[in-house]
Parts: sequence; C-alpha cells; structure tokens
Amino acid sequence: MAQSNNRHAAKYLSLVPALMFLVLLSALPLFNLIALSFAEVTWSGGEAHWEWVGFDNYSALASDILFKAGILNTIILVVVATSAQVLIGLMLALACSRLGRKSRAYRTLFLLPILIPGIIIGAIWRLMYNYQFGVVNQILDLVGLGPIDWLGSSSLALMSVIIVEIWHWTPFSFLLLLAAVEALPKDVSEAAQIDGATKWQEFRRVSLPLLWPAIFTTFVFRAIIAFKVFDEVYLLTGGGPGTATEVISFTIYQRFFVQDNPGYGSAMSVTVIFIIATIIGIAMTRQRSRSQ
Amino acid sequence: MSTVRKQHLSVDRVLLAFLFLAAVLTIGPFLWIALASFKTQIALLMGTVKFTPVSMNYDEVLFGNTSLFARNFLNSIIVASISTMMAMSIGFLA
Repeated sequence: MAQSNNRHAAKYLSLVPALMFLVLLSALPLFNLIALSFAEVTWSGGEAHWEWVGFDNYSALASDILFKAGILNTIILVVVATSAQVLIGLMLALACSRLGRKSRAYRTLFLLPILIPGIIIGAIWRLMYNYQFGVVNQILDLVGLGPIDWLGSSSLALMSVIIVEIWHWTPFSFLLLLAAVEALPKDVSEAAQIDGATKWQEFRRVSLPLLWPAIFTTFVFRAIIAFKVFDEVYLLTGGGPGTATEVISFTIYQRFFVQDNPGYGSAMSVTVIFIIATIIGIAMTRQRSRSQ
Repeated sequence: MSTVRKQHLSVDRVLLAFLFLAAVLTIGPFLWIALASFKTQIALLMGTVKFTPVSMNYDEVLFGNTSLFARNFLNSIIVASISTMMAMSIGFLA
C-alpha cells in the first residue's frame, strides 16, 4: 500500500518540471497580458507605471477603424486562403494517391515551400509582384496584358497577399490530406464499384464522407495558423495601401510597439484570442455533434 | 478491356499534367529568386531575360566587410540548437 502510494507520488513528482515550465512560459505571460489590458502604462525614470483604467481599453476598440479593418481583412484572408489551400491540397493528394509511385518526385517537391521562412517568401514574392520588373507582370506582358499593380492597388493587394499565403501553405494541407487519402480503406470503394457506382458517386458518397474528419481538422489547423499571419504581410505591403491589407496581428504590432501603447495592444490581443477561441469552440462542437 | 485501360491511361496523363503544372508553380519562384541572385542591380531592374551571371552578390554577402551574414547565421544556429536541446530535455520527462 505504502509502496503504491510512493509510486503515485513519484508519478506526480515527475510531472512537476513540465508543469512548472508550462505555468512559467504559458500561463504567466497570458495572465500578465490580461492584467495589462486593464491598465495604461507610462514610462518614466526607466520604470513602467501601471495605472488601472478598467474597461477603457476595451471600449476604445469599438471605435478603432484600424481594428475593424484588421479583423475584417483577417477573416477574409483566413476564409479564402484556407478554403483554397484545403481544396487544392485535396486535389493534389487525390491525384498523387491515384498515380502512386509515378508521383513520388512530386510529393517531395510539393513540400518545398513549407521549409522556407515566411520572411523569405515575402521577399521573393515582393520581387515577383514588382510593378516594373516583376516576373508576374513580365509574363502577363508576353500574353499582351498590361502591367498590374499587384501590391499598390487597394482592390488587389489583399488578393495578392492571399495568393502568397495559398502558395506558402497549400503543401501543409497536401501533407495532412495525403496521409488521410492513403489511409482510406480499399474495401468500401470496391464494394461501391461492384454495386455499380460511378467514379463520381463513389467519391461523393464513399470517399468524401470518410475523408471529412481529416478535411475538417486540416481546415481548423490552417485557419488557426492563418489568423496569425504577419511576416508575409509585413514584407509585401506593410498593411497598405491604406488599410487594404491591414491584418489583425499587424494592427496589434503597430498599437503595441510602434505607438508604444501596451495596455491598448493587450486589450486587442485578448479580444482576438477570445474571438479565435470562440470560433474554434463552435467548430469543434459542431463537428462532434455531426460525427455522433 | 483495352478501352478501359486506355481510359485509365488518359486520366493518368491528365493528372500528371496537373501535378506538373503544380510543380512548375512551386519551383518557379525559387528559380526566379536564384536567377535574380546572379544578376546585377541594373539587369534586375531592367527585367532582362538574357544576362551575364555575376557572383558579386554572393561575394558581398559572404565575404563583404560590412556583411553580418556569418555572424547572424551563427546566432541562428545557437538559438536553434539550445532551444531544441532545452525542449528535448524537458519534453522527454513527460
């Protein structure tokens, strides 16, 4: 009895280092952020002075044009880019899975963009989008279309950023979905074929429902990461022209560091965390009720 | 039987073409930036297709007096290795 108690104690004791680090590195900064969001911080004499302002920071959010633009642009970017990534990734995965060994070289090649840091992707595409000498406009010129100001026009800039985002992260959905497609059981689709189902019916009624959980998980994964998009936007457009590509992480960065307003920036961060958590929560419960 | 197989092959061909297009779109930007790294500033701004490759960009980054590339790269290696070691040593207790 005493021995098993000891073993229990040892079990919990071995959790302590990991738990300590978790609290130290995750929980504390989060609580600090929440506390900060209720304060106005001023700097004097090399020290930070906190002054509690209650919900002032939060009520100021409602009338902040940059914040609204940031949220709206981020949601557009997340929805469009993630849908396209999952769709293209699924198509590539299905093609690769069907071709089998013939597609081996492609499988490796498609993963290349994930390995590159976002800041380099931003630099590459900024050069390619360039109005005067960018390769995109050069190719368009060959077809006889006039040069397009990809990053400078307020109606196109967000679209250009979305294209880069799709280019960068489609391999990620491809990787996850390929694993799911390869793991599909063969017998059910064979049964469907014997029952006389057409290729499309087999895909629509057999493969797709089986793939659905993987597609959903990929979508949520990518949406969460896409919400944090920063480096590509920072390099490509810097949020401009105007507020055309102002994404929320960029707004937070500007309020927090450029305008040196930590309290307000924290309030914004907490709000965004809340919004993302709500979306994920709704999506997860929907998914669970669907699968039951 | 043979028509079915022919159909299969033509579908495969379309899929291969699709994969090839995707591959070109993936590789393209890398090739373009690699080519740009051998161009002079002027050739780059003119958007010339034919150009004489120069190594001056690489000379400047790797051996230039004002270049901090080597030092910064070392910093990245230090950060990457120490954080990996820390994460591994804490994570392996779990």
